[in-house]
Amino acid sequence: MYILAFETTGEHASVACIDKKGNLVEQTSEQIFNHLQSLMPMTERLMKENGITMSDISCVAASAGPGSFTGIRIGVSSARAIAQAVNIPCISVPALWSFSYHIENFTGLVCPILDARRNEIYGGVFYLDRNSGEIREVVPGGAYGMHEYLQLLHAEITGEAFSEIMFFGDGIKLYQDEIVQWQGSSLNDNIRLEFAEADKRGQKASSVAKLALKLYNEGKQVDYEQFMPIYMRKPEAERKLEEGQR
Amino acid sequence: MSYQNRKMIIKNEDETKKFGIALADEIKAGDVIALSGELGTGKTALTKYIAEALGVKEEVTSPTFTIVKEYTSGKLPLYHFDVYRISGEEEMFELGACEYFYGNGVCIVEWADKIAGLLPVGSTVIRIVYGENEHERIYEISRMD
Ligand SMILES: Nc1ncnc2c1ncn2[C@@H]1O[C@H](COP(=O)(O)OP(=O)(O)OP(=O)(O)O)[C@@H](O)[C@H]1O
Ligand SMILES: [Mg+2]
Repeated sequence: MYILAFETTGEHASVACIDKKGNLVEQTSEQIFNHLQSLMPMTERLMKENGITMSDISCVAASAGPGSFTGIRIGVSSARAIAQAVNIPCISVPALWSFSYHIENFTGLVCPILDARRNEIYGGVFYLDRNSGEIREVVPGGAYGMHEYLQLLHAEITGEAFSEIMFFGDGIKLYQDEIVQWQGSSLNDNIRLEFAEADKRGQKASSVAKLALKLYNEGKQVDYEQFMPIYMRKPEAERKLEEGQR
Repeated sequence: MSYQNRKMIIKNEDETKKFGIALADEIKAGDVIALSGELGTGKTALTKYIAEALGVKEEVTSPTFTIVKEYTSGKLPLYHFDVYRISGEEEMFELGACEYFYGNGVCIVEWADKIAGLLPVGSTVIRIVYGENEHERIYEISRMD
């Protein structure tokens, strides 16, 4: 039994297969935003090289977003198409949560921030309890202004005595200075703040696969027809209301 | 762009053309020009002149029914939108409009006020209103922030 997992919501497409025990194989495209061309050939190669056939796949997962609009659609559509063709279920993997698995043995707060444009990020704060394997959504995934996000993060840090924070995602590029400034002015010295290394910053199919396995074990499979993108855009009405309040 | 935050009186269509040529001269890949104004104020007319100045060979016609038309014969790819028939930002987003707005071409959007929340920071906003005389138009130009 394997779960096939796609990650196409970021710059580089990747694909992974994970078995019941959590053994993983993965391939990542070097090309930037070339998902449509690279995803299927890469998947074929990965399966061939590891002696995995279609009949070994019992479920197909994809990162459902937020992230690149076209990327999300490619990942979700590909997963849906395969699931329909070979009659297996899908698993919808929330992209922000998947960052919890990026760094093995990291026990701090996981802070993915993705550039949502118009001075906003898609972000959330997660905590993976290494003992229970459960993930806690400390700050709910959503669209935030960076300032608002840092305030929410701050409340959690002071409330619960977390001592390690790591940022992920393409939002780092834009907001690193603001975060460092915030650290200087608002955080105690005993709190360690890091930015994930360049090759660990982006979305990864291996993390999507790990979360997919967890969701699979919880019985969160869905029919391909029910598998929908998660763009996470704020509805227009809410956006207008906020702009009016400013 | 040097046209930012100013009001211009365009006396006739010839001046619309001159304005379009001057604007095209400063356009770069990735620029978004957001046009708004009542029916017949000349959003399509201005787009035609900009397209012509960009070297677009095809005839530019209003994309009211197709929402977007692409022109690739000029010095930059031009995407001409008319979002009059779009219900709002959600529908426009679902159509993948942001992939154009943040792409490498030039976007010109008629009725852009209907989807203002999707326009990139830095878009050139041109609000067109009728002037005192038949062919006169007032252009209020600003930058989206
Ligand atoms: N100064 C001017 N600039 C532009 N067009 C003018 C001007 N004076 C007269 N016109 C005429 O006004 C009309 C403008 O029509 P056009 O289709 O460009 O408007 P529009 O704003 O795109 O309308 P719609 O809202 O239906 O898309 C044309 O017939 C054009 O010849
Ligand atoms: Mg028109």
